[in-house]
This record gives sequence, structure tokens and C-alpha cells, in this order.
Amino acid sequence: MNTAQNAILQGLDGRKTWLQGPAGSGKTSTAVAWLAQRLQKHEAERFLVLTPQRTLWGPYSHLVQTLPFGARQRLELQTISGLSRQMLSLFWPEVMPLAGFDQPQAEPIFLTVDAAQYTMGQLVAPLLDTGRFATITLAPHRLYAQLLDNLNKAALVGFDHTEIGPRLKAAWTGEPAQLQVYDDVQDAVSQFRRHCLSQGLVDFSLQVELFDQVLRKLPIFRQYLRKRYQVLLYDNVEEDPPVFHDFILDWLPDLEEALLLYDEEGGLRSFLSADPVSASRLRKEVSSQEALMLPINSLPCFQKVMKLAENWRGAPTKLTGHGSKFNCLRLLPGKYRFFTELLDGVALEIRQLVSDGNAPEKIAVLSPFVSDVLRFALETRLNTDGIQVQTLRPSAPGLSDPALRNLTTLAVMAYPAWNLPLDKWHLANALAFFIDDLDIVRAQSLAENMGKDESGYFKLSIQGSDLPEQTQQSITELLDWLQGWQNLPDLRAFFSGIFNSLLSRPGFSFHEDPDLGAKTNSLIDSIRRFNDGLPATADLGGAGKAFIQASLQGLIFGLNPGQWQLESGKVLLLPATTFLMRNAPVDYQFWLGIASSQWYQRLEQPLTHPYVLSRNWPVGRPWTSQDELNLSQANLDRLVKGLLRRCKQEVILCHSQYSETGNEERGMMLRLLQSVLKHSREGERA
Amino acid sequence: MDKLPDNFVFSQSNLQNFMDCALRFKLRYLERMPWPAPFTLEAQGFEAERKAGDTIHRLIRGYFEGLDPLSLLNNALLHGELTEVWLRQVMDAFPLSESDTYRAELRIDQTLGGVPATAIYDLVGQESGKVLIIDWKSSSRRPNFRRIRESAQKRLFPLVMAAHLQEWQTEYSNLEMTFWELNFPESSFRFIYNQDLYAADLAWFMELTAQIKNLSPEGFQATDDLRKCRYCQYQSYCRRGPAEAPEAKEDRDEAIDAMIQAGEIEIGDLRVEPL
Repeated sequence: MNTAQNAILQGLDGRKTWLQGPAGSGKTSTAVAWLAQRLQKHEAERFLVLTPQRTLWGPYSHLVQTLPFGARQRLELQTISGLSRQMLSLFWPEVMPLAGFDQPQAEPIFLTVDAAQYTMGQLVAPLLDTGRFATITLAPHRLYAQLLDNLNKAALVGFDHTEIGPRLKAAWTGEPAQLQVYDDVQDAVSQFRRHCLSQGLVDFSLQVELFDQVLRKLPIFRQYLRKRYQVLLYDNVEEDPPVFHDFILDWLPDLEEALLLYDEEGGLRSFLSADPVSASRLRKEVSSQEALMLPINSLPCFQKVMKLAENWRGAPTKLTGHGSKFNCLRLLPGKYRFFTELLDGVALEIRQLVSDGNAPEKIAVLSPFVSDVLRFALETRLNTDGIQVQTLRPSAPGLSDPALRNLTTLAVMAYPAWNLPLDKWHLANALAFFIDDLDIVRAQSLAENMGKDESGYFKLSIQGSDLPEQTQQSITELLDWLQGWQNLPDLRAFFSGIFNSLLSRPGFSFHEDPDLGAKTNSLIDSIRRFNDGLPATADLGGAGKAFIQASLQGLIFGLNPGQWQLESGKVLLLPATTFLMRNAPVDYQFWLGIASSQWYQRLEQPLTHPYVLSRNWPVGRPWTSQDELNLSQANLDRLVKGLLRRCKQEVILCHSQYSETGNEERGMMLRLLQSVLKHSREGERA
Repeated sequence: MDKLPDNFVFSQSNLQNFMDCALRFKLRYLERMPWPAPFTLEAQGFEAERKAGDTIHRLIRGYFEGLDPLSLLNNALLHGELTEVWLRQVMDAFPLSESDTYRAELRIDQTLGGVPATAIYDLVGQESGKVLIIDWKSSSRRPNFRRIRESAQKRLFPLVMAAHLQEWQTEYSNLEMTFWELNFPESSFRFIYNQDLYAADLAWFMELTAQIKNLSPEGFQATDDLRKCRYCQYQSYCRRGPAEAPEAKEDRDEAIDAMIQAGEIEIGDLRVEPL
């Protein structure tokens, strides 16, 4: 704690305080110190700690662990969306009659993202057949996700979902054909909402609306909050959406104490409706305002780089050399034509850092996105030296995990009546994956001769093959098991059954493998949550088939256990935004592919628009190319500063002539960094 | 596996699991190893029972949080007549007035002889100078008194509360605990806590937790009583499937009761964490 932090800490007690500053200026550590002090005097159950997402609980969870045991009682860490869901369940008897459902609903059936996407898919498929969305080329899961995203934005920003299409149309300045697409969007989302209200389903958007428009206005709920919590600590207020700020604004007068932390360079989740402008309204409702301006534990060099980056507007387009006079920012040594060569260079540099004694978890390789190919390529290069890599890709489809993909293949084989497609490649992969000592080449050769019996079960001819006897026996056992499967309609029974009675036995790859046990468990759990989100009238067989279909279409997420947790001892490979939102600095950052425009450009989303569907965008104002450019510039500024503030030692810039996708790019980030490096050399000469 | 951490918190659930099978305790609480549970028809029955239990617990909590009783009863009826009957039973037994001090879903963390322990109570109240602990049971089987008497819950819950009251200089001689059988109200089980019980339970707790702490990783052995494996999620890990753990009717009840006492009627790790 520095002097400024201590001074602020002294004045916090008994007040409602707004504390702002840039990332790394010590806001959270001040808040943790304040909380620790307060917990020495008061019961923890009076306190509520809120963050926009649970990955930001780290410092507070750590505090809880260090407290004396008795003081740990019920310190509640929450997100507002988590709190709203729990409270809707508890207060459902009072909320339900006001919720607008067609029929009384005993309890809210919360839809997971997976189930919501599947449900949207069921409703949109007939629209597609009639030529709606005809000008849009999108993978099904992206189409459904963007439609749902619109509903979520309407709820989080606080406007009626029937205004989505009109708002998008009013801001559109391109080809007129797109206006019809926005009409299609409106039809689809309105149909989805009607479906939810008729079936008693609560997707995320309806959850937020019920919380915002019904629950938080009930006197009994307000009374409950008053009784339950007296002190609020709300970190990263700028990363939450406007209706959550409305809730806090309403609640603040009832609280005895509050500490609200605001990151001046935040708004990283603006594509998820985070709204720093809306958050600023809270500042006016507190009794004191404080600021921490200076970064702590940050090298002065980073301040210089930030200053140069701030002043950049247009610059040379070529990286002209590796010389950098900064000791905190440099280009990766060597010249790289192809992306794969660049990864060789990155791996070499990481190996050196680790052999110099740096902890792997303090090294982060950052990229706009992390593809399966990138993950595999980096893992392969580093694993040979015993360096492990971990990725966090919360939006990666579950079936990108080989174990889960291959388990799904077995389900396709076990339920021939579902008539689901199975190609030879996936069959070969599954065989090689599950059968000990069966390599992919032999598995492919077996799959080539795949056939079906009269009941539709898959057959393989292994007689006369040169496979070892044990391998043949395992294959036979697997096929017999699948054929003998009793076809219980609940898919959970299938996965539990095949795991417990076959795959966990010797001769199969899951034998005594806790990781694969955990993955199977998570798959079973995901099916349960998916089933819970289907109407009560849905039969389990239909639900099982629907789950497999949805998985194959890439609609099932959240299958990887512990996917938001990081382990120590492994190099991080993360999308830059994910890294920023974790707010956990590292010593070394590798910025991979700095010429890419994906670092700062808005995602290509033809069915939605996070900045138009915002409280700050006047309804009816057109979104122009200048707005797009301004946004890119603002995103780049925020990204570069955000990353630099979360680095303790050195940023290593990594560039190849051709990108991962084989394109030659010259984005603004490349130009900005070139300008910064050039100025460093000029500054040195001067 | 690492040694049991010094700050490991003992609960009725983990203690009951240890009493049933030391290896299960190790896999679940020390190694935190998720493992797919066998998915039998009976397991599906447990799941239905768990859901009904969750629902009535939530409705009862709503009642003690001050939600409108009529709304709650209407909602209970949507879940089924039985749920409504259960809720009405509780409302009749606990008519609320302004002066009542009931706390639903109360968690108390308390060190017992220097060892951390925790208990989450369905309901704690003060009535005519007495401290009441109520635990709602919604099982479809008649209560097994012997098993309840020997359960970790029956010992730990009043023990934690008594120690907590003592710390606040409150007399615990008026402490009562009730296992409220919603399906069999006539078989509900109430006992009054006293100094002798406190001393005996504390000795039991200290002895059991010392035994756990002193075990080497290899010391966490699978139980010899195969009935305990019948519904265990780790049975394929231990290679103790149904064939290795045949059952008689009374064994079955015994095994299920054990799971209920340990709060284990859910299948595997089905509980969803809040967002």
C-alpha cells in the first residue's frame, strides 16, 4: 500500500465512496485492505462483493482464505447476473404472476446458452426455409448467437425487445437489402420471446428483464436486500451494463456503506453492453469521490511507451528494424515470413525465458483470437521441452475437445434410430482414441470398411486383420457394447453406462484417467442442464438426439471442466480481451500477429450491433464509416494501454509477413508500434 | 495427493463420507476428482427426490424471508399437492409474528478445539428462551432412528451451534434439534442438547478429525463394507460395480440412508454453481 492508498483507506469508513483510476493504480488492493479492516469489526454476512464476472473474484477470494476462520462467515462474492438468478428463484412465487407467462409456472426454467441457441435454431430453421436471412452467410451457431445477443442487449440496456429491428434499421447506412434482414431479425427474436413465455422458459434476456422490471421493484425484495446486506463493494463497475447500474442506483440509499471502483480505461466488455458512461451515474450518488492516478509496480518505461502510443495518429507502415531503446518493448528477434516460422521464434524465446528461471504462468502469449490450429501449433512446439500451455476459450464449442467429440461419435453409433450422420474420419478418430494401442492409420483402415447391419448398427471387419489380439478384443467389446445398449432414452445414462462399464476398464483409454473421467462427468452435467431447459413436455429421447445434433452444429459450449480457472506452471495462450478481463498481470507478454486488424476491429456481426444497441447511441442516428474508424481507434488505444498496464517486465512484439490465415496485413496496431519504436530511437539520438 | 490442508473445513457431509469410506473422502475432498456416477433407474429416483427436496427447502425459506404465504401456497400447488401439504404443515407449525426471530439457511463456521467446522442449518429460531434447530427431511422412506442417531449430522449440527452460542456467552442448555420428517410428521425426531451430549460429541469430533488428519495418503482405504459402494459415484474407479456390491433389501435401505445423511442423494456432481 502506498501513501495515496493509505490516505484513501483512512477516509473510507462509514461512507459511500467512488474510487477511480487506471488499471494497476491500486484500486482493488485498496478495496481488499478496506474489506479486511471492516471484516475485523463486522460480521461478514453484512457484506456483498460484486464484480461483473467471477474471474475477477481472485483478490477477494484470496482475502477470504487469509482471514481468521470465524471471520470467513458468509462473505458473499457475486455477479449481478448470478444474484438476479438466485433471487428470481427465491422470489418466484411473487414474480411469476407478474412475468407475463401464458400459463402459471411452478419455477423458472433457466435456459443455458446451449439450450437457448438450440431453441432459437428450432424456431429459425423454418424461417430460413422460406428465404428469410437469405443475404446472410453465417454458420448456424453464429446466426443464433447474434439473434440472442440482440435480445440480451435490449434487456441489459433497458429497451423493449420489439425495438431491436427498428433501431438497427435506423442506424444502417449501407445496402438497402440489409433492411429486410433486420426485419427478419425482429421477427425471429419476437418469436423466440413468445415461445419462452408460452413454454415457461427463462433465457438470459428474460432473466434480466424480470429482475429489472419486476423483482427489483417489489417492496418485499427491497426489504430483503436491506435486511441481508448493509455494505457493498462493487469492483469494475464500468464493465457492467446500464440496467445493473440502475439497480445499484436504486439500492445505494438503503446501504450503510459502499465502495465503488471504476477503471478509467475500462469498457472492455462493451461488446457485451458494458457501459462506463452509465456507470459514471453512480459517482453522483455517493458521499465521497477519490482517485488513484499513479500506477504501482509498473516500470517507468511502460509509461513512456503509453505516452507515445497516446499521441500516435498515422505513421510508417513497415517495421524497419529491430532496434528498440526501450527495455520493456521489443520485436521478437529474427525475420519471419510465415506464421509457423513466427511460432518457432516465439517458442524459442519462451524456452529461453523459462530456462532463465521465469515462471511459465507469468508468460502470456496474446492474440486477438485463439484458434485450434494456433493452440495445437504452440503446444506442440513447447511440449517437447516439457513446457505446458493452457488456453482459456470460453466461447469455444465443446466438441473442439477430442475426448468429448469422440464420446459424441459413440452416441451416434449407439442410437441408429436417430439417423445421425457419421463419417469414416470421425469413426477412425474415435476408435484410435478409445482403444489402447490402436493407431490412427490402422483405425482409418478399419473405418474404410465400415458397414451397417440390418438394425442400423455399425459393423467393422476385424477378422483377418493383423491387429494384436487384445486390440481386436477391445474393438469387439466396444461394438458389442454399443449394439447391446438398451437404448435408455436419457443420454446421460448412455454416457454414464459406457464410461463406467467399459471405457474405464483396462484396454480402454479412460482407464484410471481422472481428466477423462472429469470430462465425461462434465458432458453428463451439460446434458442435464440442456434437458432442464427444454419444455417439460419434451421426451428424453428427443432431448438426447437434440443434444447430439446441437453439439455437432457447434451449439454446445461450457463442456470443459474448470474452463475459467488457470493453473500455475503453464504458459498462458489467451485471446487479448480474455486476458484483460481477468485483470491478472504477467511478467512477459507476446503480442502475436501485430499486423492484424482483429485486435481492434469490431466483430463482423451482420445481425446485431453492440454500439448502436446502446444507451449512448441516439435512436435514429446513422452509424457511419467515420464512427467505425473512431471505434477502431478507441479500441486500439484501450487495448494497448490495457495490455501495457498488465505487464510487469517486457512486451515482445511478434510479426510475420503472412498472418495465420496467409494474408499480408498492415493494420493500425503495426503502424502504431512501429511509430513508438521509431520515436524511441529518435529520442535516443536526440 | 497433498496432505490434508490445515484449513480444511469439516462438515457433516465430508465427515459422513469418511465414516462410510475413507477412499471416497480422499477422492472427493482432497483430490476433488469429478467422476461420472452410475446412472441407474434408482439414481433417477434420487434425482426426483432431490428436486422435490430443493423445492420445498426454497419455499420454506421464502416463507421465513417474509414472502406472501398465499403466493407461496399457490406456487407449491403448481409443484404438486404433496409440496403444498408439506408447506402448509410448516406454516401451521410456525405461524409467524413480528417478534419471531427465525433464520433460514443459516451457515455457521466454528472452530471446535482448534479444528474448523461448518454447518448450514435449514432453520434456526429462538422461541420462549430456547434455541431451535430444524432440519427438513423430505425423503420418501420412513426415518431410520438408529442411523440418524449415528449420523455425523446429528452430532455435528448441535455441537457447532452449542460452541457458537458459548462463544457469545449464551447458554446452550436450551438447545433443541428437530429432524422434521415432512412425509412422516409423526416420526419427526427431536432431542434436547445437554452438557453430556456436548462433551461426547466434541470428543467424537476431535477423535475423528485427528484420525483423518493423521492418515497418510495411502491410509485412505476403500471401505470393506461393499453395501456402501452400491450408489457411490466412484464405483468404476474402484472396480466395485453392482456385481461386486450385491444387495439385499435392508442393505439397500441402509446404503440409501447413508447417502441421504451425507447429503449425497444427488447424482454425481450435479449441483450447479451460481453464475
